[in-house]
Amino acid sequence: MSNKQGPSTEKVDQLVMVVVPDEQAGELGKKLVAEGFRFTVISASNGLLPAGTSCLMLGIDSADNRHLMQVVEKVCRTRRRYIPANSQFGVAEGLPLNMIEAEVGSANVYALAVDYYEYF
Amino acid sequence: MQPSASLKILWERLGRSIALYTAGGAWSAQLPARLRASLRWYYFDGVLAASQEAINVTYLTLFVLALGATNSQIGLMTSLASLGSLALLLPGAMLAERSGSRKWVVVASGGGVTRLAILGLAVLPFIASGPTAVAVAIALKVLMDGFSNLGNPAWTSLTADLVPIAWRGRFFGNRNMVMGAANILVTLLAGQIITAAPSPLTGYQTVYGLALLFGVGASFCFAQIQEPEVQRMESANPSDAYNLGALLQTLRGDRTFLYFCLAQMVWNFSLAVAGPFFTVFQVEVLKSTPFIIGIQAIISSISGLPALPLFGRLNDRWGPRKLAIVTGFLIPALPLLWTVVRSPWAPTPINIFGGLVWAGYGLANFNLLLSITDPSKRARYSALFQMSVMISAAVGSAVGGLIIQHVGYITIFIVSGVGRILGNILLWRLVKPPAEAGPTAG
Repeated sequence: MSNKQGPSTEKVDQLVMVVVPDEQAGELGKKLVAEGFRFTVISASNGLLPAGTSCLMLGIDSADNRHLMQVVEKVCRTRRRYIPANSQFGVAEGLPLNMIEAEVGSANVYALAVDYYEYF
Repeated sequence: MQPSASLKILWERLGRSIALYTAGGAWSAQLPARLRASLRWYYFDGVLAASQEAINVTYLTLFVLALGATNSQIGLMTSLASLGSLALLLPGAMLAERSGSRKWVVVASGGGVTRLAILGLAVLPFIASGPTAVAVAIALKVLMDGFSNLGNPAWTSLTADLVPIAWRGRFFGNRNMVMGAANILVTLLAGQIITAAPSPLTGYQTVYGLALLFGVGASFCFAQIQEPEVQRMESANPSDAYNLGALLQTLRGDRTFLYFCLAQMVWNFSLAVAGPFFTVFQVEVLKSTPFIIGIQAIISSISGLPALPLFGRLNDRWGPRKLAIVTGFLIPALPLLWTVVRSPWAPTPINIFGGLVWAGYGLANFNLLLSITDPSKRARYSALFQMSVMISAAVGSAVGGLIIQHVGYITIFIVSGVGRILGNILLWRLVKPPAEAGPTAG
């Protein structure tokens, strides 16, 4: 996300790992970029079919931790939604789908102290 | 390490992965083994039932046409099926509430009667022909839809108690994806079988035999589920939702919802007036084979998938009313575009566009219903909504079947398009912006 060349002089003393469902990773990523955070995304689950999880790794100044948590909380807070309880394939047009209430949104956040950081 | 030992390890890992995946995902490892096993049976029930429905939804109209049905009879079949579903709404809610076992209500109704009707369709050409066969096929379709609806409240209630709410998103995300894949594969396979069969009826009988196998497999899987304790019902007494006096009182007391139902009735009437005849048009006018019709159905279903995240965001940004109105003004173009179609593959772009806009409309319309209804009376509002959809669909199909013989396909498609515009104008002008409330769908 940065255009800087050469070793970084910015302060990074905390590594934050945010584990979120795949469907939230995109929105969270956009919000983080908009707020000036940089991150690396790693797919935290493999396989073609399962709904996966992503891990966003952020090196931050610990003073920014509160700001970061506010962004994560805003995007990933748990809320209730109705989701289709059956595949939408083969349903005649106009017929209401069978919907069921579900909790969506979650994030596991881990913060680790960083002994040393370099950016090339 | 010996090759046989590493193969054994690989096999065990694969087995563990499949066992976890079919229970909904890796998260299910934290659940008790009995619940995990039930989720696995529920998962396989869904995949097999989707395989059965891939055949039944896509090819039933073609089968009944091959038996010799007229357009009026196709319209009548759709109309009576809607009425059958409507008639069994209240008994279904009462059964879910009063029956000792919701599982056996589902296995007996949506499983048992529906699958017996599929068996009936598979053997029908052996025992009847001509108008008798058509009449029996229509009766079997009415039985299928009616009893499927009868078991639906019990199925929904059992599902809510079986799948933990915190994991439903992932469980149904995984299950629906595999159900969709099964639907595509079986639709293609069935289309090939019918097209390659020595006679059309033999092809339909073969695929209905296949549908029966899938259906029996689904019922077997559902019967293995360990029924959970009843934790909660959607309302304290679900059959109260269908009390006629209470329904009328709800309509009288809520002008916004009354207008919403009115707009939905015009909209669904317009859908149903042409809905059953797109397949007939493909067979009789475009000379499409069952295989091509199957592929067109798949195209329509698939094209909505990539659009869903976009519509989810638009729903959050615009609100469900605006999204429903915008997509509702695009949908009338679909039947109007069908009027210029002249070859079997020509509906492809229409189905791609249709899949996209229907994905948005379905999402927005459901959220609009949620946002204009009082959460404490949602079961009653939902009952009214379902009734208005079924009544208007029944009347629309019957009217379509009666007039299509005289006016032809093109006129009926134009009537459907104009009616959809009218329904959407009613929604736009009469249903005022609701206050955001309760959970939304997405």
